[in-house]
Amino acid sequence: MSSLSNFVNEPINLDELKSVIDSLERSLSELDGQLRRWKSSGQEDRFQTGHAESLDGNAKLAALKTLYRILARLPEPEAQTILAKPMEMRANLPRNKGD
Amino acid sequence: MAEGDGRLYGAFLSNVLKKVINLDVSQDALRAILMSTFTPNYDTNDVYATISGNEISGSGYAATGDGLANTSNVVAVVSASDWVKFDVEDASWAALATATPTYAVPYDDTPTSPADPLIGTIVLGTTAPNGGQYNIVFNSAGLLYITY
Repeated sequence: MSSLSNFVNEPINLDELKSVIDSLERSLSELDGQLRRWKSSGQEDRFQTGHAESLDGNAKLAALKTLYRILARLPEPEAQTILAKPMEMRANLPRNKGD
Repeated sequence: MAEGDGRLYGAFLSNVLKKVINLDVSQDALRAILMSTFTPNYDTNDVYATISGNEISGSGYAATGDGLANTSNVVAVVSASDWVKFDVEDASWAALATATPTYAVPYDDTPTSPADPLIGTIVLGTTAPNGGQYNIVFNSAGLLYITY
């Protein structure tokens, strides 16, 4: 990460930037597995702390990926949207059949 | 089922009737998760822990998915249609890595007994994440409605 601060004055090494991105992705993946275990085992305090770190890490990862895409002149992926239909439940009263 | 189709879990209405779930504005905190290979069981899947093993993982996604802000929740009787609707903020991920999620599953993150009860499933079909913004937009009729 420290090498990123030199980008302003030095030629940008895309391979190095990609390496930083890959490393952060691996760390977040490991954290993700741990989060799932904490949540499922009811360790809510640990989960909340780790989840905040995960959100922060993912935001930084997204920023680094955007930077890489700009520098490598890669196109921005199009947004993907699912249009969800409403889930329906029927709440009918039982008919009295005179049992 | 086709892309966008939704179905409620049996446990959902049971939890509503038992006052486990409160979907009114600014009450329970809802989340939506994305599932990888997954076959929903609408009789036995009841809480997050029963399905978390099939949640996707990858860049741009944190375990337990996306929080759906409850400040604009709508719970309302729609008398013209004879239904009660519930609507909540749409789900989105800013930069979701390429993956093939099969279902989105909204759940209630607030209750503790049972913890994290599930609401239902939404089929994600063939519109897969490509590394960019990934949105699940709920219908104007709501995330769900109950007819009467």
